Amino acid sequence: MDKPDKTTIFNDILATLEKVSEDWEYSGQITTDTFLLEDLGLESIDVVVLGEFLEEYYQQSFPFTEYFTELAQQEILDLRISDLVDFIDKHFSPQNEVV
Amino acid sequence: MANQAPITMVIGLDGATYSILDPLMEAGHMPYLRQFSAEGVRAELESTIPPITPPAWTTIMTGRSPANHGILDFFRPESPGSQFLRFVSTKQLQCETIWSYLTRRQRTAACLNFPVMSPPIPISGYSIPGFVTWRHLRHACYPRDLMDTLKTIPGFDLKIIAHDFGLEEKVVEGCSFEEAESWINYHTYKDQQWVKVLEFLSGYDPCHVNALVLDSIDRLQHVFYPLLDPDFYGKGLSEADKQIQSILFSHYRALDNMIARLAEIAGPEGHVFIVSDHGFGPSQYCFYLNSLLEQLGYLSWSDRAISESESAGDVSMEAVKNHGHLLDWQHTIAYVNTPSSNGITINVRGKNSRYGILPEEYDRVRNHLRDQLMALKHPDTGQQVVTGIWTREEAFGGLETAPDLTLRLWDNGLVSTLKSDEIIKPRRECAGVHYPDGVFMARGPGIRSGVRLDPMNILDVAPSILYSQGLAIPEDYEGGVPEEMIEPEALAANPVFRGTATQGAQKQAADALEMDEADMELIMKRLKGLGYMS
Repeated sequence: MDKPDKTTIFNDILATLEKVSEDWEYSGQITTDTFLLEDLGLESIDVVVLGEFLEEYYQQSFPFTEYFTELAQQEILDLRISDLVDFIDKHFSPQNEVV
Repeated sequence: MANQAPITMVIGLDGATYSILDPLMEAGHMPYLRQFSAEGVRAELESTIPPITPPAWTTIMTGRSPANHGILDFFRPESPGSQFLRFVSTKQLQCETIWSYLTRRQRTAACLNFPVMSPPIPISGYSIPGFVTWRHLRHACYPRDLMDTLKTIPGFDLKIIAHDFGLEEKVVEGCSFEEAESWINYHTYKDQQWVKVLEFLSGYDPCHVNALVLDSIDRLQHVFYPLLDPDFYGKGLSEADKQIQSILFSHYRALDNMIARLAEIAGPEGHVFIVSDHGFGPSQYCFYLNSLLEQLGYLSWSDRAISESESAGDVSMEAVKNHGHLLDWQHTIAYVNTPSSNGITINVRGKNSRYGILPEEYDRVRNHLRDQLMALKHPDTGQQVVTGIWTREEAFGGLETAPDLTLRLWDNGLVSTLKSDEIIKPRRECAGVHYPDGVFMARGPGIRSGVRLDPMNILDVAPSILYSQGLAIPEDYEGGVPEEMIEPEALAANPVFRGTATQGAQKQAADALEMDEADMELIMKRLKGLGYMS
């Protein structure tokens, strides 16, 4: 898969959220500024699982746990969709192992 | 046992142990289980190394040891050699599950609340995994529309049957008196909801093999063990503890009713197995193994590491997964990655680390560390702290992802990965920890009555389930059917026989990918044609 641009990544995340969020209690519009924990009500474990859906979609692995650990170390307890877009953009590589 | 395939009911009681169940049965809190035990067979069931939920239940549902099925712990490295951890999933599963095997043998199965069953593997039947949060449960189930089907059950509570990581943290954090009643009642209700799901499926689309793991026993025994073991509560309880104990006994009575209902679903022609993944026992001390490794010169903490007292003993799942930043990796040779593994990993330069020892030093370092651990004495009692050590080769057939050394402690406890000034410290309160011996009970046509069998191994459960369905035992299964469980006439009429080996995980995955809806429809038609489905 060719490396997608940030707009495509954002749309991919939206599509993934739409796919997995059928039972969720969030009906607002999701933008790049939407917080995953505070706004969508996710727990950190849910974010990791969301990451695994994205790995499945992109057919490559991303260091999500390492990223979340670093955020926790910086006492950043939530992240925006835009942070997730930036993270995937940074780590997307056709050389990454296929999951 | 008959040639015709009867219903097989597998009731999984996570963490059930005779040392708790027998007194409860004798005291009249579990009358059905007492009757079941008297009318069938029972045996102690030796668990996996280590005796923890993911490898043990995976052994029950694959018939293979952790060395072969590849599930060793709750966690796995995020990538090869990474210190960062994720939960294990079916992607790490190296063997075919019994559910897939049954599918290939024209049997249907409902497997409910088993760990390591997500992402789902298509089978002829139904799969709802354990250890999945409610937000992701829909996509972890098979078939994909199962959740919509279940939502038609009056009063069905999706959130209750899912894994609530926040609530479950009390297993390691402890539970205050004020929280105790609601937490116990939560587990009673959760178990009841799972039973309700199986009741519904057995009416909606009966399966040949129905397997449900009820996990309340494990959770409650971790926190309230002294209130359940007569050796402890016999010495006297406070009024507050008596109140909690009374609520616990009510839970076990409710559980007894659930077991009775599940056995009723199997019917008089069905076979019912009651199994646990491991046993339970008391632990009164914490053993800080990473701190010991520091004292012995194998490990160096990073500046971010704070002591256990400063971190308020944070042993949550999050803390476990994130502990990688606590170590100074450049100066660490050996460390414990997860408390649940009781395993030590040795950093070997160029193999699993950029730092660590040279490959040619590995045997010497590992043997020396093993000797040092075996020589460790308890500061209060003088007894040997480490009572068993297995190398990667001994415990896991040399599996690369396995710890280099796996320990059994004097009290069967799990180690702490946290930093501490003392290596062994008394716990604030006695806790329940996993012991190796779980339970096995069986009842049904052809099964002997009132017999205590020799101790069994957890590897023997899967063959017993297949035998109850009149199926061959795959030749690569590592256990067998305990033939002394079966009436001699029944055994003569239906001898145990071995068949072809299971398919590997790759084939299973390939089959799963290829099994689209059209294929499933064909399988269903075929099963109906064979009279297996109404």
